[in-house]
Amino acid sequence: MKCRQATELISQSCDEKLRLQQHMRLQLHLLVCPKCRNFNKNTKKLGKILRA
Amino acid sequence: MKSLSSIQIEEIRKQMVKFATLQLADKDLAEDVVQDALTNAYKHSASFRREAALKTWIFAILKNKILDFLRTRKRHIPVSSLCEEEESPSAFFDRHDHWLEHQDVTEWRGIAQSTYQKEFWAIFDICLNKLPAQQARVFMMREHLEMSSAEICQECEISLSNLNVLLYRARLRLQECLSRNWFREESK
Repeated sequence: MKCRQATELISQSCDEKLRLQQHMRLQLHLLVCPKCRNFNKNTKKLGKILRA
Repeated sequence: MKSLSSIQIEEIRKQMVKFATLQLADKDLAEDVVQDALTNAYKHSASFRREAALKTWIFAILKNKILDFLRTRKRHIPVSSLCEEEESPSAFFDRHDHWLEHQDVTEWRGIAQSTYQKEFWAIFDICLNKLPAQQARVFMMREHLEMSSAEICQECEISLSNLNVLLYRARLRLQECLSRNWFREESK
């Protein structure tokens, strides 16, 4: 999986449940890509503070 | 509420109009909804003492007014075209679709503390206003008004895939803008 597709899935996961295959492929990518891992954490944090 | 000065009320009203205008894409309509929300708040203000709690309460009324309006309205306001959204996020990725080397994506630290700082929200406001209007609008519908994807699609008359693209670009840009202007400055 490429970073662009991973970030698209990260955004999508904020709004809907990913399919199992998408979820697994994303998790595998996050294991090896620190930038996407940070993007994932920051995206979740941004949503959380906006709601809270 | 009655103990607030007219200056304080005007400051809150300005913030309300700004938020309502973003959501309704119509300044006059936003003024009407805000007036309605403030009137409602004034009528039931007896039990509120602290300014922070009061603002939270007034904004909750405003959010409900906006949601009521959006849910009952049918094709009343034409949504701005998507043409301003056409640019792709190629500024972030190389031709192989991996992060550009200079894109420094670091984890945000101390974000919970940041939210208590006026300066953080000033930066957030600037970053939000730098987004194309439609991106900012759907992002706040999703994350602040907590509308479902289906509701946003119906309101904006866009497909789910269009919405996903708009939200994706908004999140990408907001994160980059906040990283550059707040979190990186904070860590210096």
